[in-house]
Amino acid sequence: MPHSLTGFDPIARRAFFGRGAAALGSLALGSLGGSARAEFATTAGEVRLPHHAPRAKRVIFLYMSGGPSQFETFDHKPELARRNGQPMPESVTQGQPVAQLQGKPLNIFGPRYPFRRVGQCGAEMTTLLPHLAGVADEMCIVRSMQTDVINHDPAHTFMNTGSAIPGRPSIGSWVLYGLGNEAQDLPGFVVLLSMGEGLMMQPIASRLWHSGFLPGHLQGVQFSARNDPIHYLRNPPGVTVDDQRELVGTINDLNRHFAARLPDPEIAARITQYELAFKMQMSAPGILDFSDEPRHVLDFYGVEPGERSFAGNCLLARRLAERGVRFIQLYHRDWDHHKNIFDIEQKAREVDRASAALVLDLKQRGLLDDTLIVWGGEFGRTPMSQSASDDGTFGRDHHIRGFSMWLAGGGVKPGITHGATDELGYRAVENPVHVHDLHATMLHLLGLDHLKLTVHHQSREMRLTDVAGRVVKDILA
Amino acid sequence: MNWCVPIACLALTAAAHAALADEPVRFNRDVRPILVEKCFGCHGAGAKTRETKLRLDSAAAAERDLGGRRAVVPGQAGESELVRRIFSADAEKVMPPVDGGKPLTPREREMLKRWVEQGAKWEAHWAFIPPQRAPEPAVRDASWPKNFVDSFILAKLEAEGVAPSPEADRRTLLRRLSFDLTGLPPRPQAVEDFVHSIDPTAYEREVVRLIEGATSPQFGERMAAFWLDLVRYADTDGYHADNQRQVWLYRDYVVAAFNDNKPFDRFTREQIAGDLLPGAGDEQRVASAYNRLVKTTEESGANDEEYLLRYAADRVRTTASVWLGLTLGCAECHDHKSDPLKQSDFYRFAACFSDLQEPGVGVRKPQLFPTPAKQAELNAVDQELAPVRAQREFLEQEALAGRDPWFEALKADRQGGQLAWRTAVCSTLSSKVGRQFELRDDRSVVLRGPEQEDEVTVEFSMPPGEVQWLRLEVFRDPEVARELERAGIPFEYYLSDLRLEVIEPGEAPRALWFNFAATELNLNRHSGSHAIDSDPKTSWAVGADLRAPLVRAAFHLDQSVTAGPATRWRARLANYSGVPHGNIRHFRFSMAPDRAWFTEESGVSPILGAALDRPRESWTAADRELISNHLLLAHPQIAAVRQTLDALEARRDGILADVPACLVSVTGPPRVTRVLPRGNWMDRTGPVVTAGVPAVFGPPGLCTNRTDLARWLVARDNPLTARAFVNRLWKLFFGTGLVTTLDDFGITGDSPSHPELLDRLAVGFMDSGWNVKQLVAAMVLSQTYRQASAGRPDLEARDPRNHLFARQGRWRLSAEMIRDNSLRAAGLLMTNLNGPPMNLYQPAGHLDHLDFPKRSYIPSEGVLQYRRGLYAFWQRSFLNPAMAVFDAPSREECVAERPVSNTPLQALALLNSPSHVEAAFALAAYATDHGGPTPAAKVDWIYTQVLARKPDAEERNALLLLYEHQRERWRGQDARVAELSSFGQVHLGPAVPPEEVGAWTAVTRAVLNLHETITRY
Repeated sequence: MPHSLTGFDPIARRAFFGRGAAALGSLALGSLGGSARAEFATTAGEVRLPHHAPRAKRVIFLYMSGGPSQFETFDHKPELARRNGQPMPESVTQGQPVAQLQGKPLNIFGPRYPFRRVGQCGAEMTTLLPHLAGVADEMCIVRSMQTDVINHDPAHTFMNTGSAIPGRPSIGSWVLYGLGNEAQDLPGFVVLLSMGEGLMMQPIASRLWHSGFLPGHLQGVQFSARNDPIHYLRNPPGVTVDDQRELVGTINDLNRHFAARLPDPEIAARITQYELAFKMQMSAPGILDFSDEPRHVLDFYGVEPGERSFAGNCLLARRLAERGVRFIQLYHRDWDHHKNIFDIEQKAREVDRASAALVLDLKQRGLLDDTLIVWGGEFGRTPMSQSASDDGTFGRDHHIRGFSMWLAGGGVKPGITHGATDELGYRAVENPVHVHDLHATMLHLLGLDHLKLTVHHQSREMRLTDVAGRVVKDILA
Repeated sequence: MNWCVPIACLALTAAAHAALADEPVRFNRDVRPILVEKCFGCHGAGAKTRETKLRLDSAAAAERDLGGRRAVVPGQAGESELVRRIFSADAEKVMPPVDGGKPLTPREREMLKRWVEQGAKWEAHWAFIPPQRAPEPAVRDASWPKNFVDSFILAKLEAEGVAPSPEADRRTLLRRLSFDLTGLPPRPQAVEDFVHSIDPTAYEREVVRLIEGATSPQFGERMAAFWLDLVRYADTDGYHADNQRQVWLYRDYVVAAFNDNKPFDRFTREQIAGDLLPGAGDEQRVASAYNRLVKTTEESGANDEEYLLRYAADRVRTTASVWLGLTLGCAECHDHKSDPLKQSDFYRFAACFSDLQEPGVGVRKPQLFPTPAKQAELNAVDQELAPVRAQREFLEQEALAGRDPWFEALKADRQGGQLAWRTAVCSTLSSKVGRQFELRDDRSVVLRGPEQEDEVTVEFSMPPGEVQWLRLEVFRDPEVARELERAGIPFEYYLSDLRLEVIEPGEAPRALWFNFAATELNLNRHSGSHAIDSDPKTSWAVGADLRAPLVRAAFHLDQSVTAGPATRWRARLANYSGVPHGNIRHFRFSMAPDRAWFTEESGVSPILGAALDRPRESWTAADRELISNHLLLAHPQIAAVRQTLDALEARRDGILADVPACLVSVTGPPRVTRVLPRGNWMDRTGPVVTAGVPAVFGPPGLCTNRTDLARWLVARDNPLTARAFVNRLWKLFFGTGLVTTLDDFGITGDSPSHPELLDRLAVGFMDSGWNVKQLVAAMVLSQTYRQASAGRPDLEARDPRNHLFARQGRWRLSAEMIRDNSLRAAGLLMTNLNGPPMNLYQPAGHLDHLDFPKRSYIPSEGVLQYRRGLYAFWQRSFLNPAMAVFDAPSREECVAERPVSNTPLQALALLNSPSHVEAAFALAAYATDHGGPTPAAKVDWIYTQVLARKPDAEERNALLLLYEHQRERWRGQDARVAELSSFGQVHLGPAVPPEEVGAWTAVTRAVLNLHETITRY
């Protein structure tokens, strides 16, 4: 049955557990004037039933913004090395979209780093990612990813919303819509951004975690890298916690009083939100305070104190996962290596240790079983070189017909490599996995049927996977 | 009236059901909704997705002979396969299919059967039939209706046996009316006057005052906020770097159009094709900016053709949605699944815009709209420029004639080692703001310290010889860059003024003058000449997005200086740019004789060096061009002329800086438009189409271009435009549309709750000459509008979504209104200030993830900060969070209805965001002055100021209690009060004791946070 967007029609709504009300009652701000309708507006502590038994309860999406090269990481193509510098056969490239290589010679470009077999499973990876090599037996590498759009902006939008046209809900919003939010005092969909060092920062936009035509409370909350994790979390200057507590108490008393005069379910919801907001003020800053983490854990991730980095965000992701946040998305920027492929070393250094640490840490804590980790960018890179300048360096252009990602935990088969590109690494030829298929599979692992998770909007039953998508059964554990 | 509407929430009683059996079945009312919901999924219009041979979307298709069986045989239910199948007991045969289909209810089966029995009469979809003026229905309670709107509403209420709600109390009514018509709360005094008025037409007078408001543009501002969501107006281009674009003149045009009550048909024609209207002036051209509001890209590597097609599709989606309420965008890749819209219709509609000239990828050039006075200034500068340009051309021709000998001399000098750059050795350095310096082994200087505009004076010595160039190398030291990045400071620098003195032993320092600057890189309009132009306001600048490790600038002296071994030099680098972090942080000086900068070591012409080493005979054409260019650069007379030119051009730029600019429609030869199979822009196999409106609305010749389209949109027989517009206005004033799907008048959209009222409004609107204010007045003057919004137990089950309009709606205010309301209560709001957008307060780092270029964001200062939310800078990719949190849309796509959420993040924004805290602080300050003698009087005053009513006893007591507690907490807390008041731009005199400031700010924050405060009742 499609979900109802209005929230006022109890028949059209799916069952949920109103856990939020019970949990909030413990707050010393007075009783909750909550009604059954207040939950519609509640962002936290609300859980809905999945369509089928889930394998994963939450997702951590390590999003490598800019498009990492598969040939320097996971897709071993010795043929490219053999034919390095030769023109790519026209039969391969004819009629295919290109980005910055428009009108340029298309020459084969061999991989720049040696591949080796790693783990018990013998997965192929380059020497660029030594720490990830250590967790290869947990990883499911997909070498046959495909997407539809070749420029960053629409490709980001496509990878996150299933459409290149802005305005659709992001995958995190769909997941929250389907499953609700378990976290008691945190948003259910948190976005963390990091940049690292780099020269070609491709911008991103908040539409990538927007809720589109789903209700606004389902959109991702971007934890700011400066000051407070959540906008306006801090009291105004000079105002103490006690001041604020008394203020919120008075506001809610007045709202309750008004509700008695003019009954309105929205007031009950508003009261709940103020209580929740105050709770967030109390607890959310603590989530960023790593002082309760032992030194060896910080070192394991490679976290430098006082610095907001990808490593720090990975650790933060684990802490958010522990507190029930449903969808955690980390964007690490600057994988767009057009000009000098060797710049990828810097990015690899920035993410390799922490990505692997996250997998192991979750495993040690028993969280990997029900946490789905996804790692990858909006597209991959060409098997052809791009020469940007006279200084003899080469990079790779954007590529959409075949690229690599990996998944781990959350009901995904560990230690496998799925799908393959042709010998020149141009096209996914074996078990292609389109972005829609990735989405369908992610939802499936969470207990959601991508065909049933729909909402009526502008004359159609809209869904994350548009009119496509199939669950990649081969990678399910 | 004895009809009803098939919407789920109006459950029919048994009695009504029985009555129905006698009534003729009407296709649009009774049958189509069933087909849409249960059958069209497989038997609908989407030809390529149809899963069976049978179509049920037209009489011909349904009655077609499919091998001896016909789905529908009019009048003969027994012969009709449709009836047989829906009543079938066989799980294999029953329709809809058991697996996957939505089962029919017994009532629905019965309805389909009776429809066939009664002759299976079809009607076109209601929204595709032009509206007819329905007669005003008779009502039993003739005293209730104030106008025709009420007759339609009441007639239905009476038929349903539901009573309307009583009129809202006058305070609520005026507050409602004021927010609805101006987006602002009423003035407390206006409320008092209205409440106590004995004039029987007091309400009507208020309506006229708020709509007409001859001196205030607030009606237009309120309506513009609604319109700008539809047309997805924003101040940035949307894709990728999301850079600023100039279109705010269009926003002001929309405000003015609503204020001036521009007829909606004219308003439409001006936006779609204003540039093509006979006698089009600036106003019409600005209106045509509508066509340029599409999201556009500057992303490198993007394909022109692909993006031009994206823009075309964007225009189709938006225009069809804004004017027609149709989801034509669904037909981009295939025929529409439920509506009779073909894929070719989508591309024919797109072809209407194919004359628009625009780049696919890249920066877009706006048109300038100077005032006559500005135009005169520009003409004057242009007159001065013409002879100087001619002079330069003459000199250049002359100089080029002597190119080769010049070059040979240069070469000889170089080989003789006379062109080498000599590095300065710094002896002393002083910084005005106390920055510390460190001298590195490579003789460069690193400065660290306060981020304030600095003047740095350096003394240095140099090996003896001829000097006519001072070279400045500025480094981007990785270590320094990292420090800055951590601190969140962009790496950029500004050199506003460069001075040089030569100091001979025993003589006073002698000032030297530069006449020419050559820089490797600079920000637009910040060329090197600005460092030597004696104007402290202008600078040579290098921007934050530049990550080059080294940038070189060479400054040419107007005369050569011969330096001896004891000669010393003193240079001063000053930053007066207003950018406190814009100081140069790491640099090195060197000097050289006149022609040295033509060597690669100068950094200015690295490629020329290679040419210098080659014999003249082997020069390529490119070499020759390069050498010619450098000769011209070096020519002293030309340099002088160039300086004059630069100054004039800078003056021209200065004039232009104040001239409004706006992207507008520019027509040209139409591009060829093809149907794109599956929407794939690389597939050129689809047929070429010409401009046209969807075939269902008219023959092919009806519309051949943009002008025709504009005319057709507001043609009298267009069935959609007037309905879509009146329906959206209805939503603005009642909370729900007469058709709830504001953006879908297609077959799967909701049917109107009051079809005859909708049509009456639409026809009346057209008949009035598309008079918007008259339409608004008809709605808000109605008794329906004046009803109380309080919920009623009898309506809760009966009509929970208020489709009967037996009460008014109530809803949270919009993002803009919430902010404006706080500012208005605090006395901060500035109205009547249009123009370029202003920057709201915004958390630091909000734009960190935008690049090309990096953004620096400075909130608008002074009164500009307090302009209405309508004028906020609208950054599509990262909308201001205080606006976004209250559901303001990014305006990337057409938004007909903003969602209304209720979240803890909204509580945080109202409690803690700068705008609201500053407003609370200002209101507290205001209250201590004006609020009356006692705390109770002050509480009453604050309540009235914010809510247009006095608090009741309990409310007053709760706030007095808060005040008293807080006063104790803030007593003696001068430092905390100082922090609180350091927050925004509002400051208090020293006379107010700190505990009063703190306590009253708590009270005002409480009142500004109330649910009632942010709700329109």
